[in-house]
Amino acid sequence: MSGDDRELKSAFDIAMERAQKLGGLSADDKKRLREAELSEVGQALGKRYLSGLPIRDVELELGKYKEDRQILIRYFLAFLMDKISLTDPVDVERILEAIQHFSGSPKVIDGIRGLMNDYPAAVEQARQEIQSKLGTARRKELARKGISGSAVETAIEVSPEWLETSQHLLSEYQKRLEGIKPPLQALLTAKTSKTPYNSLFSAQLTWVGLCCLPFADSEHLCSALRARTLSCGLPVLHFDRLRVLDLHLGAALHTVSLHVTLLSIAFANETSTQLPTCQ
Amino acid sequence: MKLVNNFYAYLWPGVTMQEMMKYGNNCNSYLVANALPGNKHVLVDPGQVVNETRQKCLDRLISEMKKDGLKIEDVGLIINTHAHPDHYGASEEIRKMSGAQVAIGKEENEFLKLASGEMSQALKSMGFEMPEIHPDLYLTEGELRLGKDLVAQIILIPGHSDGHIGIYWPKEKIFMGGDLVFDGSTGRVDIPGGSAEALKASIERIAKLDIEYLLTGHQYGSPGIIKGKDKIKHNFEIIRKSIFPYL
Repeated sequence: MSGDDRELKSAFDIAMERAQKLGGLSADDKKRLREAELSEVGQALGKRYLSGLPIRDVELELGKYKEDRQILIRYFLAFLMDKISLTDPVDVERILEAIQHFSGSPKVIDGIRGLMNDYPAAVEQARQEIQSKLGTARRKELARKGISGSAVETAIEVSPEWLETSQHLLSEYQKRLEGIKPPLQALLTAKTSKTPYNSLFSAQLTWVGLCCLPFADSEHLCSALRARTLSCGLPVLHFDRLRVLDLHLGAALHTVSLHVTLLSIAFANETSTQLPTCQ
Repeated sequence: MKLVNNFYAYLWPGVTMQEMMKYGNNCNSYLVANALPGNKHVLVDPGQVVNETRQKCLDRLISEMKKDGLKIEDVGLIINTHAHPDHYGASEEIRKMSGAQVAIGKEENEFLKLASGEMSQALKSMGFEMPEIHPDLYLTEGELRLGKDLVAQIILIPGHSDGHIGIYWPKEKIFMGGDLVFDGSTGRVDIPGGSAEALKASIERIAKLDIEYLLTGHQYGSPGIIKGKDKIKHNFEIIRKSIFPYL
């Protein structure tokens, strides 16, 4: 057998080699691969949703990914949020509907909805201002060229003033929209995540009041006390200014059990009713 | 081709099936010579630059105009009856050659905004590539005065498109209707912005005008110009009887 022959491998051999290589992937690699796969599925689902797939059918699709459902929702919503556009607002209401559906809170979309309403109003106002400023001059210019009459309305869209103003407005509102997206994304990540560990909060958080979320601690005594964890209340994350996050059952039990221990120490002196202060 | 007084017609070939196959789609263009100061012309519906069968539509228009002793560089105003590319497509190209002002119905401009945005994919799938157009002025229902003594009425005739306009020249009894009516037929209403009910209402409105020359947007297997009151009246009757029931 020549050297070349030794190099020849059957498809089965190649498949086996690849399978072995796959078996040799580290846990991190496997996780990354799975994340990439889920990201693609989330995007595809987002495209189908924007093409008219009803939200109940999205739920059915998500139901097929039992363990990864929450991660998939995150990718699905991230895809939709990327599609929010000031100049092409046709899908915005559907996108906001999905965000509201999966976040369970109408408030989270208020910021975007407000911006989407404010932008066209600002554009129209600017248009009217420029129209009244330039209209008379343009009308005179057209009359000089022999074009006049009640049917004539001057168009300002080609004027440098309008081009500059509209561009300025677009970039200003675009900036505001981009400012809203990351914290909303982080909020949705938190809301759609079933694992409350800090790694889930790595997104840039700029929203006032949410700045402490990256340091959330599920075992903070002050938060647990205020949530009445020991009186059947739900455990909360430290500095979670919004509301109780959905906790993984194991983490919740762990939190409660730890709090029991800590609280027995804190309330050793039964005469003291003052709660520990937050840092 | 001279029509009457300073009115010229440049009909895109398509009366016979062979012509339609060979030349593909483009609109009829009409021109009012020396309508503006400096002997500038008004061009209605310039058509496309190049169409789907690679016919050089604009070159043909320029060459036909030359035969009548008219230059494209002397066009001072381009009026587009509606915002479909087979009618307005060459507007910006002609503006580059002549510095002409470009006009379109105001509501059509809204359609153009949509067409370049959310509707672009839908239109592409229907074979519409939307060339650029930047109107200098909009035309709404009312009087259009050109030069010293030329007067036209701009009439809103929605149906084929939402902001479609027609141009009626009362003195010459000429009506330029774009794609409202053809010889024995009407414009499509299945394109975004189209409406059968609006088209019927627009046709009924135009049928009341005193028209001697009905200038249509296409030949489509029939003459592009219907001449004579009786023929025009008969055409409206045919459309009412044979087209309206299916709209």
